[in-house]
Formats: sequence, C-alpha cells, structure tokens
Amino acid sequence: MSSYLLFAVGILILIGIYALLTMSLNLKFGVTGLIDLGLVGYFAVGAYTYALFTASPPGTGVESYNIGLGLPLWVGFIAAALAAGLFSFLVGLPALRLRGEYLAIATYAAAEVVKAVASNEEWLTNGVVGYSGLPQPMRGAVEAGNSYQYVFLAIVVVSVVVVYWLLRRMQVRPFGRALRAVRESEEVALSVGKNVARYRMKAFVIGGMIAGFAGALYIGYTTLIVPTMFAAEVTWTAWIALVIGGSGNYRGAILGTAILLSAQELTRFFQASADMASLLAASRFVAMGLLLVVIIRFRPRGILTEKTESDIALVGD
Amino acid sequence: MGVVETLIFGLVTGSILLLGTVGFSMIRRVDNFLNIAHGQMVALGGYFGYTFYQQVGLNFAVATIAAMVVTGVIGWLSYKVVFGPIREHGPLYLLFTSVGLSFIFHGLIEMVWGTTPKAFRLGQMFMLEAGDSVLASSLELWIIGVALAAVVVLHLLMTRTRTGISIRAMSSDVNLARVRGINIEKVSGIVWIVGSSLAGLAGVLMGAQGTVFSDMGWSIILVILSASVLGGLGSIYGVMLGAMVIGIGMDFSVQFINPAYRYSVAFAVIMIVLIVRPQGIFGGGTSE
Repeated sequence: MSSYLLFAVGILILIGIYALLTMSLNLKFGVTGLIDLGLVGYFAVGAYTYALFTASPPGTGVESYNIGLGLPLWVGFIAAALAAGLFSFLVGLPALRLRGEYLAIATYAAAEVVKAVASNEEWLTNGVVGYSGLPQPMRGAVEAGNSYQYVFLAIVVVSVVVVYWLLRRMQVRPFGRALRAVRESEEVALSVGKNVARYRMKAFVIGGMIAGFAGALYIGYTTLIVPTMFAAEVTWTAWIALVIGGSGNYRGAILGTAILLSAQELTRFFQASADMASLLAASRFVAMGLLLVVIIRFRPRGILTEKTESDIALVGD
Repeated sequence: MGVVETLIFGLVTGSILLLGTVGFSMIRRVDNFLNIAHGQMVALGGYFGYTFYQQVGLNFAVATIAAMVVTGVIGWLSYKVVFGPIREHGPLYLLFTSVGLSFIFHGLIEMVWGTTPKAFRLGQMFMLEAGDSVLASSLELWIIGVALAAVVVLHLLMTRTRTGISIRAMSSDVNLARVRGINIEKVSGIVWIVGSSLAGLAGVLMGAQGTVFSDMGWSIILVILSASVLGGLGSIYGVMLGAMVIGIGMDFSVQFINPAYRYSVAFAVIMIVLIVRPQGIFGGGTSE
C-alpha cells in the first residue's frame, strides 16, 4: 500500500514542478500573448545553475566535473531564477522584436542552442555525463529515506502556492491589465501610453525566472542532471497542459498539468514484459498527441477559460 | 576534407533539405500555418523506404517511389481528417494540432520500428574520383539530380498549370481565390499530397545517406524551419535557396567549429535573419 502512496507522491511532485512551468507559460502566452516554444531553455539554465552552485567542490571525491561551488541550496535556487531571468533577457532583447510565429521559431532555436551547449561544453556542464548525487533541500529533516518524499512534496506545494499567489496578484494589478492590453492590441496599449516593449520584456523575464526556478526544483528532486533531460518534449508538455487546462487561466494551467501528467504516469501502472514496456513508452507519445488533437478539435479554449474583468474584480483581493 | 568535397557534401545536404522544405513552405502558403508534423513525414518516408527496400526487398528506386506514395497518402489523410476540420480555429491551433500529430507519428514509429537506428545497405556504388580523392558517390550525384529535377517540375507546376496558378492565388488571398471559383479544398489537397511525398523522398535519401532514427522528425523540422525562415516563410523559390545555403553552410561550418554545433549554426542563422530581415533574405515578405 505504501508503495502506491509513494508513487502518488512522486506524481504530485512532478505535477507541481510542471505546474510552475505551465504557469510561467500562461504569464507569457495566456496573459501577454507571447508564443514561446523555448521554455525548456530557461528550465535548463536554471537547472544547470543550481547544479553548478550547489555541487560539492571537485577533487573531494571521484567526480569528474570542473565546477562545483558547494554553496547553500537556497543560494542555488535564487541563482537559478536569476540566471534564467538573465538568459531570458538576453534572448528577449533580439527575439521580442519579432511577432507571432517568428518569435516562436526564434525561441525554439534558442532552446536548442542551450541543449547543444549543455551536451558539448564539458568544462562547464560536464557534457553528457553531467552531475549526479546533488544535494537535496531539507534532506536532514527526516531520518528515513522514504519519508523525504513527503518533505519534498511540501516544498513543491509551497512553491506552487506562492507562485500562483504572486501571479494572481499581478493579474489583478494595473500591470496584469496592461499585459492583457498588450496581448489584445499593441496599438491600443501604445496609444494609452503603455510602453509595450517593456511590458513584453517584463513578462518574458518573470516567466523565464519561474521556469528557471522550476528547473532547479526538478534537479533538487532527481539529484542528477544530464543534457537529455532538456529535450523539446518539456516545452511541449507545458504547452499541451496549458491548451488542455485553458489558456489565460492560472488554475487551468495547474489543472491541465495535473490531467496530462496523471494520464501519462498512470500508464506506468500496467505491468509489462520488456517488449511491452518499450511499446508502452511509445504509446505514451501517441496518447499525449491524441489528447492534444482531440482537445483542440472539440474544446479549443480548454477546460477552464479565461475569466473576464468583472469575474476577476469579484474574486480579487 | 578539401573545399570541393565539402562543397559537394554541402550540396547533397542542401538538396535533401530542399526536398524536405519545399512542401513545408507550400503548406505554409496555402493553409497559412507552420506544420510541425512535416518533420515526421520525412521520418515516415525514411522508415517506409527502409521497410520497402531492406525488408520487402524492392529495388531502391521502386522502394523510394512506394515510400513517397505512402507519405503522400498519409499527408493527404492528415489534412482531410485532422487539419481541414479545424481550419477556422486559426494558425496557432493548427500549429499545436500539428505538434500533437507529431507526437502521434513519433509514437507510432517507435511502436512499429523500435528505437534503434536503421541503416540502408546499398552495396557497392560508383565513385566519382579526382586524383586520389573521392569526390562523390553515385547516390550523392543522384540526390543532387533528383533535387534539380524537383525544382524544375515544381517551377513548371507553379507557372504552367491551373493548379499552380490556384496555389499562388490562394497564398495571396484565400477569400479572393474562393470568389474567383478556385476549389480551395482540392488545391489544398494537392499541395498536401505533393508536399508530403517530397518530404517522404527527403526521408528516404537521408536514410540512404546515413541512418533513419526515431527522433529524426523532430531534428529535421528545426532545420526545415531555419531554411524556410532564411528563404522567407512562404516563398517557394526563396526557400529552395535557403535550404541550399543552410545545407552548404552547415557542412562548411564544420571546418571552423565543433561538428556538434552543426545544427546550432542553422539556428544562429535564424536568429540573425529574423532580426535583420524578418521577411527572409530572398522572400518578398508575406505576412508578419
């Protein structure tokens, strides 16, 4: 029984980490209208920053990596968010001058470059070997190895709640309204004196920081990091979750993530022989694709749709 | 490698890329969205080519044509069943639907052919030699020839036939084209068949040159995107040139930088082109 419980806790942790990523996408696309297909890039920058900052200094063990600052974990998390924010700023500087699908292609390309650097710059990232045995937050809080899962789940839940709260506050403030104005019509936003370029950049960088933090959290959970973890699939997962849940709605972002990841992880329940296991792994791609195609066909605005201004005023703080 | 060998190798890469990109660009022109699933058409072409040639034992040319027919039909079906019905949702929903379709095809490929890469065993080939260095194999010469032929045929199709004129009319104004009595459905259908079978051809040639692998569709679509941005997304001739430039550029870049960054060169090109000239170097500039 407890193994099922642990399995469920594992799924909840993954859902929480991806929910952060989907919420960051909702800020960018759902609220501001930026089509970013490079989410995994900021996620990876955050993850690698966390690894470089928190790994114990090289030379103390059998590690083959060059850089390990051995700093406290909270420094690692803050550095991850800041580095991903800085990277977003650098990508955004040229890319945000583009619109629509051109922005999509540029961000997609930026994320692929990050992956290429992660695989090839061994002096920095330790290449395809990566890092393993990285420290976990509040590891000492419990003695038994298994109960640590609950501690980690608590950390993830708190992170999701805090980020959700911050983003919702932002939504009802003038800043959030300005972002939606930028999405609906740049000309109108400009004509009422909003600095459109700056608003787009702010949403882009804040979204990037959240994605970077999610990346650090992911590494804190897995305790290892290798370049193959940062395939474009991560980006698509967040997009599919957002489309399912309902773009423009942060609760929809969380709900969509929960539905998508539970559906994916439940396939692991089927006990299967080695042959069947690879077939099942492949069928997960098919299931994910079908879900997206069917949702768009029959419920294109997602399960929870964006609330109108008056709804927000009613529930606002 | 010397300059001549690299140039020929680049021409081969560019030719394959051209065949893969032209269909993507035609679909972008008539149906106005980025069809990410086009990369999976390349992969499917490669795998069907492998099955027909290696497992069924057909002659290479026959296997290639059979693979083109199959991918053409799959492309047409995906248009009829998946994309056609949601056309009014707009380009972004079509784009995400194509991502969903890519996952479906990728999953099916892994279910049918597994995850280990497959190689064509083509046997002994004629080698074009100069002095004591090998310049090109007969396969490579064929690839360049096939791409050239495709360019000529497409040019004739676009300028001399009713279908070609309809395609051009649709890409400049769909509503106007409809008012003028052009059968939008039929023209789109033809574009999907032609575009997807050319993608299938590119897949077979890629496989014959190297291997076919299950992630192929995802990696090739990025290069296709680069080539089409360089050429101007919807401009068919621009895209042909863009594909050659990217192909030759990628192979020449290996002389100066780490080969692992071969694809990154293509992406760097995208970034620079998008910033300096968003309408593409050769494109007359379609829409934003």
